[in-house]
Amino acid sequence: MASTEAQKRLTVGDLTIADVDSHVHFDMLEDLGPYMEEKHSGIRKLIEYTRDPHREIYSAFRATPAWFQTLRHDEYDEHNPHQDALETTTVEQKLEMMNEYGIDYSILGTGPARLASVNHDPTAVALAEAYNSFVLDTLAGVDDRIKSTIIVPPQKPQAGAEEIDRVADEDAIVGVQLPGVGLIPPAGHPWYDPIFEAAEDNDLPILMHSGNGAAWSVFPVQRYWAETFVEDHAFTFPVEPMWHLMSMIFRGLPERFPGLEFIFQESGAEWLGWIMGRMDDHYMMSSQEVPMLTKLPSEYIREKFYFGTQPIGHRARAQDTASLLQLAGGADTVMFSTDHPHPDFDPPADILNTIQGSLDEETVRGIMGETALDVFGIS
Amino acid sequence: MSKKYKVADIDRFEGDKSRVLVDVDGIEVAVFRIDEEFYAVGNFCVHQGGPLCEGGVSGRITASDDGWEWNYDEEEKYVHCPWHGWIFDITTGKNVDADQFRVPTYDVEVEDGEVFVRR
Repeated sequence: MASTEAQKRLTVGDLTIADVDSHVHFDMLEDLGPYMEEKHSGIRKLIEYTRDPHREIYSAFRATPAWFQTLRHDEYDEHNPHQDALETTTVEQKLEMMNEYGIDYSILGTGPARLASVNHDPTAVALAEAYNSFVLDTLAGVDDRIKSTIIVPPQKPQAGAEEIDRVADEDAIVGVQLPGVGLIPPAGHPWYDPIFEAAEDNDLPILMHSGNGAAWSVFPVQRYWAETFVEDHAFTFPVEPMWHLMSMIFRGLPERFPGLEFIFQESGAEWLGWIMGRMDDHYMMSSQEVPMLTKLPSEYIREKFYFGTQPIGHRARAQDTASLLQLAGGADTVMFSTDHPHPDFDPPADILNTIQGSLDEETVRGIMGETALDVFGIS
Repeated sequence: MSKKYKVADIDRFEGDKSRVLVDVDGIEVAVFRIDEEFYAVGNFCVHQGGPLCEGGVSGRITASDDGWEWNYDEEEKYVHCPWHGWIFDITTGKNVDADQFRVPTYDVEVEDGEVFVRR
């Protein structure tokens, strides 16, 4: 926690900075279409016919337009990071951003993040396979500072397991995305065991990225009654992962797959300390309901679970944010992330300045990058 | 005593809601031309250091007391940070949502077809 000794003020250049949530844009048809194998040519034809992929391939909805204050359309659009998102399609463009902000390593994902909302199961499988082939061909291995993740279709876990086996030998593939938005049943359900088994066998962590548009299936009542984007978005990103975390811990996922580690992206981390206390309290009062657990929920979380910092909350006092990240487990659980180039991204200097002065240097170094190097096996 | 710095010739401001970004003795400043008036604002968002004045310019959405009439007030002159959408009043530098946040503004002078800021 707070050091009593005067500390040298750190800058981004003093540290290894790893961003555990970075994105590149791709077009479903133009970019993934060529990677759909002949066995999926019928799916490609379906996608060619869609007028609105968000509603006809995915099932994704919003109450009002997203990021109204940020995503404007005027002569200055070229400065808008979301517009950059539409242009950030290559490793070279990503490296340019990393150099600008002082980021040493980026973990790219999530691919088709709304995959869980695809109703047509064969389409979900085809999209995941095509995206993974696209990653292997265009992103993975182009530069040592860029690491990639693949995605698996939750609709057919066995196909996901086969995808993991297909790509696991690639050094630049460092994790497996289990779509974290709109995921039903919750992530601790044995339905997903083939995915977890393959990831564990191949020593790849599982990543789950929060979302909004496709979260309606998990929160139908909340979504129906959310009148605006802000009401819906502020709620879903931290709350859906809470639900999955409960499921994963209380159904004993870390006991079933002791070699697996889990990363939540864009969930934020400031709530974690509170929920660990709540889960431990419930465990002590109800442990006979979950006899497969051998330790406190918070111990599993501190050993096996990680959370990206972004989006960092806004508070009048930076020290309060630093305290919340310390309560969340500090460098045991918290890893810096940008979400670049999306409109609610956090630059590394801002997070560093928020935590240094309140947390000790080892914790700061861990959060800003060194924990991630360990989790993703980057050396 | 403030010093006067030239921004640009006035014809660089092409049309309403146009702007010119300029380095004023090491500080990035944007000069906006809106409704034939000129305003100068520091190009640095106090939130996370984004290039504030490179974002969109807008008026203000307002709701009536009973919440059933939503109007768009063109009279207000706001700039939205392109990074995270924080909104500042171009005429005062004040954040429109929280009083404790403010960015610097500068006086603008127009003389003989040239635009200057004082700093």
